[in-house]
Amino acid sequence: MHFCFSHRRRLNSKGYLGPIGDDLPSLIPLVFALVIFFSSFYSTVEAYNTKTVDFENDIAVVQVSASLRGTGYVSSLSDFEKTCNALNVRQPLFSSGLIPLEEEIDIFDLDSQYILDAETNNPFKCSNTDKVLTEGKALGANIKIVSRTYPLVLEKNFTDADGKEKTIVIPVKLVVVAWRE
Amino acid sequence: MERIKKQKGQAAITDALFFLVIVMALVSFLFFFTSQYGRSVGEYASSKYASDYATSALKTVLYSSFSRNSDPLESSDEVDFLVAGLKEDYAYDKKIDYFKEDLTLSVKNVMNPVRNAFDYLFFIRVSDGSDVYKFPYFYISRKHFTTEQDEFFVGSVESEEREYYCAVDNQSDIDNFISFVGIQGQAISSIGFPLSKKLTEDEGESFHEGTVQIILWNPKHFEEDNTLFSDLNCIQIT
Repeated sequence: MHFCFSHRRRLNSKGYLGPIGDDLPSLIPLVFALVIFFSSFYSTVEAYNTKTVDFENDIAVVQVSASLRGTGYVSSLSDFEKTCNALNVRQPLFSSGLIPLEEEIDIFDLDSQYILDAETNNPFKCSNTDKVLTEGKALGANIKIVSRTYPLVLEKNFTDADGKEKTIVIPVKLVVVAWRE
Repeated sequence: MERIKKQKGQAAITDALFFLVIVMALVSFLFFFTSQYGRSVGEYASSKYASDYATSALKTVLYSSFSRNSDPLESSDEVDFLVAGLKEDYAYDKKIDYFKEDLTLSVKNVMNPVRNAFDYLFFIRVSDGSDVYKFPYFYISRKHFTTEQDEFFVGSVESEEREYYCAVDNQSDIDNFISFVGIQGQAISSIGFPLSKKLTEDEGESFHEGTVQIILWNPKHFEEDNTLFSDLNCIQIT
């Protein structure tokens, strides 16, 4: 009632503001609706992109780990490297390798945890980058880190104290850590 | 007609309110889409990981070497595959008792990286040719949750890892229990158990067909007097 009265009064008065000014109260819900719509649309697109990146990381980790696991039996470093070289993953960056089963994983210090080959002293490591994941990077706003662990068996050949050639099969774990910078 | 012409402002605000209602419906749809998007993919990824882990764990347990004497593995003179020890153990008296602790230790080590994420059971099932299965080894590791609670609020939730050996009578008890806890991943492998000469003469069979199975599920709270759990006849070992 109050609105109708003032509306009529404005039409009859010299303070008439024109078509927009006259419908000023109706602009409030319009603008409110547009603001809500575009902000929720933006947040939906953001969530969609974030989840899509997460899925891409997950898929990459699954691919890398499936290839490196193979039959679940790693007979030698050359066998492991052969599988690693067959991988063709550019993004995300990843670092993976074998570490002792009982050791706690430190994703910022993986290079020192990878098992070394007894003959060549090279680590059982497979990676598509020379970059290293650091705590500083991990705290970055846009970084996404995915980590997966699987048990495997590793054949170990060595010479014991009596000079006898021995072969044992030890349980180890395959660690795959992938991230996007 | 004249009166309607003079009420343009009311029509405009009604249109705006309708527009607002339509936008609210769209926004609700967007929020619903956001909350649901990728949910099934995420669940599938989690289930796939559990299955892959179970498969790898089973192979690792069976193919790992173990020391037949108490010496460390690298210095031991008697090293064999664990599965060979299990077959030998079963062949003697149709039980797995001599290498039972070695098997449990191996299973626990292999499952250690995911011990907080999953509860699991590991068992060996053997058929002697009849429809009746026997379970010479049955091990469960689960979390038992305790809550501190006042009149209105739950204070804190603590979990304690509990392990059991079970004397299961039939497969349906396992199936019922698994239906109750909800399976997340599993792996199964067939294995033949040869019998000793003495047993072969008694039974006329040279070996029993068997399977080794591991089943993972997300930790779920239940009391030990739960019928589905008590049907498994479990005895806590820790």
